[in-house]
Amino acid sequence: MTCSKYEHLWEDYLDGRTDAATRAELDAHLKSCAQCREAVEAARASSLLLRSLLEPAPEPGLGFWTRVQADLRETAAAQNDFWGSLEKLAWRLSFAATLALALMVGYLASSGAGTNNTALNGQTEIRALVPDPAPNLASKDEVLLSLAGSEW
Amino acid sequence: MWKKSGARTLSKSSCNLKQMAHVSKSEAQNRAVSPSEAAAEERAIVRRAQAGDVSAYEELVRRHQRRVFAILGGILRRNEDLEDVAQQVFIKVYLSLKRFDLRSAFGTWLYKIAVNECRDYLRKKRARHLVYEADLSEEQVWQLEGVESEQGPPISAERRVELQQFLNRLLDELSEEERAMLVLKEVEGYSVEEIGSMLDMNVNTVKVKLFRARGRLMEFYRRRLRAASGRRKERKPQT
Repeated sequence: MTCSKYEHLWEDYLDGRTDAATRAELDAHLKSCAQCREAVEAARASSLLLRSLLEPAPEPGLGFWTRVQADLRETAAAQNDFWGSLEKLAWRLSFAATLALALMVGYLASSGAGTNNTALNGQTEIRALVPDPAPNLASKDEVLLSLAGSEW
Repeated sequence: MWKKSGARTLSKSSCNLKQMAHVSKSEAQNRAVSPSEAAAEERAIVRRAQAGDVSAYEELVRRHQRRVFAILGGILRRNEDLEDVAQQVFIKVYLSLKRFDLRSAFGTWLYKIAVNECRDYLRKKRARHLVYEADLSEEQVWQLEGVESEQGPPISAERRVELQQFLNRLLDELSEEERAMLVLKEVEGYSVEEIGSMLDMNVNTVKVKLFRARGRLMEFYRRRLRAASGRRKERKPQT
């Protein structure tokens, strides 16, 4: 572990970017602190190793932009294909939905007429089951007697 | 700033001549204007690109491609797929450009996407190497010690490739952030201020993290060297 007080100063120290006063302070500290001395020596060695052995990343080739542009065109075409097929699907779905709606309306209209007929038929059946009271009966009693006399 | 750091790396190795030569025209133009003017100019280009101007997006790619490559190179440390990953970054950026609200610098946003793309790539590839205790030859240890002390003899091209692989394996031991910072600083020649803006980090945080990353790298390095020396000593009495 190095002394945290100086940790942010060593990079500038190694690069020779510290002012004279700071440099003198750091030099004095290095004389008295073995841990910082060792860390600064290691940092210096790391710099030498990296600079001497590694090479910078290759330059972007002259055709780099052309390749990016070609990739962009391909991506745009793929996106267009995607949206195009999505649009076709949407048209098909809306057509199917309209057709389904039309069929449903047709069905409802036809089934609605059927229900009325059934109601009418029902009324007819009830009339057939319950005979009409005898005409020109004067009182409730006469009506009841006529019903009791009729065959169910 | 770029010019200064570029000049430093130029003196280090001839391969960096290419890097200096490739400082783009737009970067050269950027040096002539103040940072606030450059930022305003870039915002205008971003707005044009957001409105669908492909030539404006091309300008953005040209301005930032070098740094994107440097970040990807720093994290991936493998060059074979680097351009594919970079292409993917610029496609993702283009597709989400309309969502970019210009509250941060375009570069900061772009570099974050680049770092995330690296993470995705590494996750998919499971590219993090298992550390194996490959034995270093006596000559390799000797040459590494020479490099470290700046007094070693020149290294042959063949040996250099082996030592690069060794160093890349050590870098794999570090986190992506540590690896990127170390490579951007020491290999690509960026300043701590530039790294801070690229990784969206406070400059003092970069300094502290970089210093700690160096310590960790050297810890792994010494451990491997000690292991190699130990194995050699064990073998010697038997022979």
